[in-house]
Amino acid sequence: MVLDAREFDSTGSNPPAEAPKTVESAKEPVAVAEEHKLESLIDLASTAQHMRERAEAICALRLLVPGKKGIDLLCSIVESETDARRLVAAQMLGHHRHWLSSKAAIDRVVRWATAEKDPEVGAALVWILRGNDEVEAFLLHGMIGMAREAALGLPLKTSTLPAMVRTLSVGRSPDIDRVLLEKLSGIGVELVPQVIDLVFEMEAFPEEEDLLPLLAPLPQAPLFEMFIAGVGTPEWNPSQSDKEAARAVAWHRVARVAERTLRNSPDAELVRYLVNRSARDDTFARRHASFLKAAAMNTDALFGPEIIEDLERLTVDASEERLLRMAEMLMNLAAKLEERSGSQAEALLQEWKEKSPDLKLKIYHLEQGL
Amino acid sequence: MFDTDIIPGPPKADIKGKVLEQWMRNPFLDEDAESLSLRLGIPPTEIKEAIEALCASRFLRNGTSSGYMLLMDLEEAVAEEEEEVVQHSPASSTVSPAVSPTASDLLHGAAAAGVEADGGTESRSSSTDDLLRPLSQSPLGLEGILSDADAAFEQLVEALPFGVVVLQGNGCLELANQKALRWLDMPIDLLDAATFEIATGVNPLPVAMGVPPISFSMSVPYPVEVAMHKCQLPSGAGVLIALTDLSLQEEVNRMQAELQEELFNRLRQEMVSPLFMIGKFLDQPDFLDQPDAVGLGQARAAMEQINWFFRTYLLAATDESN
Repeated sequence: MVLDAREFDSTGSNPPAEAPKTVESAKEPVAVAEEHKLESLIDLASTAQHMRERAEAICALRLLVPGKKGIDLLCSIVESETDARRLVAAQMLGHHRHWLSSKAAIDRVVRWATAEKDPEVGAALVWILRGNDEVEAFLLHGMIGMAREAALGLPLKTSTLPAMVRTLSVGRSPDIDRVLLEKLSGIGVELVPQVIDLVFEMEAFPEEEDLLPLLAPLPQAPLFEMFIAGVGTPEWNPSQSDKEAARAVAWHRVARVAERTLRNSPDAELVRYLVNRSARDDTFARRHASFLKAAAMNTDALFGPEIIEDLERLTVDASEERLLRMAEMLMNLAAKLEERSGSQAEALLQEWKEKSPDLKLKIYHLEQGL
Repeated sequence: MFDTDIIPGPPKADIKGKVLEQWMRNPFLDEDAESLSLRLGIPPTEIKEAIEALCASRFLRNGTSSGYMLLMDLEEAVAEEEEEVVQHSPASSTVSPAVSPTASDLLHGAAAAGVEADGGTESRSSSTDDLLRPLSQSPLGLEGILSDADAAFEQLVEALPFGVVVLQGNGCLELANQKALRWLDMPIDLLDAATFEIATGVNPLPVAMGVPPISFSMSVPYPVEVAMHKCQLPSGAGVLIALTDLSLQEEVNRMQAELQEELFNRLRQEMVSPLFMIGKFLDQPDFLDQPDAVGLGQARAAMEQINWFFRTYLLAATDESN
């Protein structure tokens, strides 16, 4: 339950309904009482000797929603450089963020954080900004706590990707890199080309070993399309400019790293994508047969019923040649299937074997490793 | 902000300590297990367990809608823990037997499989016995046996994995199976030496007269290889024509041609032009004395293009350092 201090009177109880007052006259004492209560709780949270008392005061502050006067009080505490209660005030401002809906308020916090000297208060100020684009300004901040809070609070979208990739290329600290890379792993497929473009645009192009961690968390299917299937291959132009030539060289270097990443540690989604494409497209299957085989062997993922369902769907109207190819893929993945899916795969192979004696014999040969 | 001498105990005291530290630094924290996992680099399941343990130990409490809060009601928790230590003696702990398939289970499974396999062998051998029963046990008489023999011969000819046509020395048809008729695309009543010559362009009769065996292949109406040999028939010398199915070979050839075509197309697109550029760069008489950075960059890009092309066909040198 959240206790709204804006509805409190001077004694701490609700105002009597039968005492009509004008809006201004009713609000004045309420605001004063709120300010007083808030201030005493902040004092208690900052200075109480017993830890349990402090914890109780903080619980009360968490439940108390400050009104305008309360916010003004908290802001004035934060702005007063010598006040010992600054940290509690900043943290409370970060907990109750209804006041942060305007651009002016955000800019005000950015100004505080930029000028802040205390690392703990600085981290609390950046924490206030979490989820806003403005935190990107602190990703490379000198105080590691502020930079870490910025990384944790950075929203993942088109506008913040450049700052994220720049920070990763600089390598602010291993912990910050870990946070950003974990965030990057949740990126949407549509943002992958933008990340790759940002890598190409880096002033100092990273070494191949530095590229590996950057490419590893990205969704693998679009990377495969771009770098292995060759959808994003730069078009060869004999009269290309110096810049175009440099970009082409960079593309090939990234392609090399991407290929190594995808081949050595393919995730379940990539293998499923390859199986589906190979089952549908003869040319694709022919061209990437060895890659699929290597991916099936190297993946650590365990496959559930979804891959069997894919193959069942692709069985409809499939030629014998295609069925044989799917059987081969299924057998390559046999060791990576979950227990229940293993029996489903057996049943599917049996179903295919019944299509024709010829197919049965060929699948049998595959099973025997002939 | 907060500091305490009392630290969470085992199990996983280090994780509990790290989780608690986050609230001690910022008691207004409103993180859930997922966001704490990002903050600490610890899996969410372990974080969840640690939070539950911290709540049970009264370090934290669940404020439901407003997240977890510091409680730090530790005097009672310490007393309770001491009580627990006294009650928890090693003698009271029991070890539950691990549930795993026993050797006898496995043995039973193998025996069952063996029984199945034996049954299969028996049924196979009984069916073989049926096929090999002596002709004297046939329920038919001699005529029946003869017609049985004709039928068996016909079945044998039809079951051959190639097409057969036998022509007499005068060009009349002696024998042909369905495969040959289908592959030559000719009805049986029309097939003789003359129509065979029209269909294939080769007269088979000289072979019957002693010309060495002839073989050739054709792709229409069906891809077959035709081999003609002299044979002796009751009516005199004849020609045995064997037709072998080449459709699989044709398919392989077609695929090979497609692949080759695709490869040549890609070679044209992705090798010829970059090689020309590298050649042009190397042909500059003074490229060693006055290196041209732009030209060098372009040549490097061309080289990378060729390298990438080869890698798509898995033609890359193995780098031992990787």
